[in-house]
Amino acid sequence: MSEMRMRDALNLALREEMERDESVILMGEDIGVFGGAFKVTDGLLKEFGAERVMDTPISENSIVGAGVGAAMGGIRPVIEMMTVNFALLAMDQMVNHMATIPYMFNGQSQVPMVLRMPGGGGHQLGPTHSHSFGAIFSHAPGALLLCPSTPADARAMLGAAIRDPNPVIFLEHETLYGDRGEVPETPEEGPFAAKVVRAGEDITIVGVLRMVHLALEAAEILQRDHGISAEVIDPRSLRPLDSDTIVESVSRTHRLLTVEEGWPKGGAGAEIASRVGAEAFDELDAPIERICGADVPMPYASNLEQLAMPQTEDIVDRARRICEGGI
Amino acid sequence: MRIRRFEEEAGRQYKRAKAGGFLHLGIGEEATIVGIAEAMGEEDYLFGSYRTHGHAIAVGAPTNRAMAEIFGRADGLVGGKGGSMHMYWKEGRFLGGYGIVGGHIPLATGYALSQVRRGTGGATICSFGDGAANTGNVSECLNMASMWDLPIIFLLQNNRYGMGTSAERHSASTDFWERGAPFDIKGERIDGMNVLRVRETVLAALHYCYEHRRPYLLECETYRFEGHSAADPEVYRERAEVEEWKKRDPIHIWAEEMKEAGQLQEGRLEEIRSQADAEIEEAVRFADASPQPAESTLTEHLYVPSPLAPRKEKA
Repeated sequence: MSEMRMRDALNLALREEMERDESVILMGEDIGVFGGAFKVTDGLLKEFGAERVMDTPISENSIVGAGVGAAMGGIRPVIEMMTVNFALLAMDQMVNHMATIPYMFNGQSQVPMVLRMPGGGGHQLGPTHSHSFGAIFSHAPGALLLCPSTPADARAMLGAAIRDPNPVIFLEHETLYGDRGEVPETPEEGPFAAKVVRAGEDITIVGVLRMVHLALEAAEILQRDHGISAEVIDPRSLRPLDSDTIVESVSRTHRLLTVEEGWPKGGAGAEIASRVGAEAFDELDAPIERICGADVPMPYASNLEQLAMPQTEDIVDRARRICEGGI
Repeated sequence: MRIRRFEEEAGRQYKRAKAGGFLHLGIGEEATIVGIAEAMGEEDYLFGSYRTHGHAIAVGAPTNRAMAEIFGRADGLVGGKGGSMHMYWKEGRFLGGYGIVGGHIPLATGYALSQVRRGTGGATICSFGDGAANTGNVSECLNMASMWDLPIIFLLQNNRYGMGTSAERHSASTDFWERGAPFDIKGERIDGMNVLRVRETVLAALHYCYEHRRPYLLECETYRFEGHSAADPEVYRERAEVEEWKKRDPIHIWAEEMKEAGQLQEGRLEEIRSQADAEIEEAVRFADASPQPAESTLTEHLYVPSPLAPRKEKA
């Protein structure tokens, strides 16, 4: 067990898998000489050489497509998109090819690859660098989608994703890269079921990525100041989405609040709400509520950016309204 | 000849509503298709576009299973999941037909990268049309393939039309073979209606890829005698143009050359034709008799079973 930052935990997972399996290669913009826009791949070029840590031109669709083709050819590419917004340029390869090929060719071709990308707001990167596309990327069948919120999960889940025979989209949060946490010697191997990160009795709060941490802060305040006991769940994976754990929790707490940075329409919370509504309707003592990012492109100005993102107080207020009514 | 008969019959069956969706026939382009397949060695792989019934058959895919795929049946090459645009025959190292124009070009580039990484030798051939030539993927991949010294032939099958838009109307320059030059990739344009010439040139290009570990751009000038798809009224070209090209029917050109060389005996062509007729007739019977895919296959092969993959249908 040792304490490390999220970016170092990710770096460790990459190094471990590259040492274990010669066929693992890294591809992406500025991941080699520059060390990665967020320094996740720092030092790996020196350790593994330019043949396995490949700086690519700015050609997102072709980088992802080349990764798909390389994976079809039996090697395991781990691709970094500099931000989630850039991955939109690669949506054709992600949806029409990466996620589709194993099914389209009836299991005769596999695509074992990982597509990592940082997203999320909080750094004033403005309307084209700060979004949360978990919902968009988990929409298409065929690729898995993981979203770790702690260094321990980041290391374990990235390693498992690289070893997996399926294509995996791996969402990271820019603001969490510097967060520290305990990372056990032996990583969890998966499957990565939703994790109850705080036990509670009165309400279930599901947070995605950084929102797990805000939900935990809110839970402390709810307990201390309002006598409300909140259970906090980190889904960890949006495809598959382990709604069973959430349904089980709601059947005890009878209330549900979801929190995500992504846009409301068709969001991760909408999917969770739909499933819980269908499977645990009789358990609910209050309507399911969602807190999402504001329904606008991410603005630049710091006050507007914060306004566009869910805040701890929003979670506290909404949880109180659900539990106490009124407010 | 087998491909020609397959395509003619597929067109007829489409009109009888045996096949759904789109049907893109390669009639007229057989010399390029067969020339590529004939040149491929044991370690060479082929990626194609959405007009690739011929490519699959040329590398050995059985015509009956190809027909069954078009019919959407269980015995189809990909179990009825892909249809006409998504054939696949791994035994012949044909790694797929792809329905997104130009979408397979990065895949082929990546496949060539895997060949280098694994040290298997061989090269990848990526066949695409003049329409796809203008997708950004082409310039992106020419750049990467050159920079990374990948053994890949970008094989531009120029049939002169991107669907209903002629090359002159979709491309500022129709000298497609020159498009590798800015990326330091050698290129060449040849007569794609002459199968022997195509085979010989692809062979030479493959050897260039093996020996120099470099990409190559080969433009084969060809023509599709039928519409873009079986539902195309062909308002964009004159009948006379089609008739003019038909004088250069690749099967005819091949037969004449072979006769001149004394390698095609009297009556042999007719014999081949009637063998092909019988085979395709049988393929239609086979496809007709093949059942529709079992409903249980709807969700099959979406994920490879693994610790992370969904355990049940609810993902």
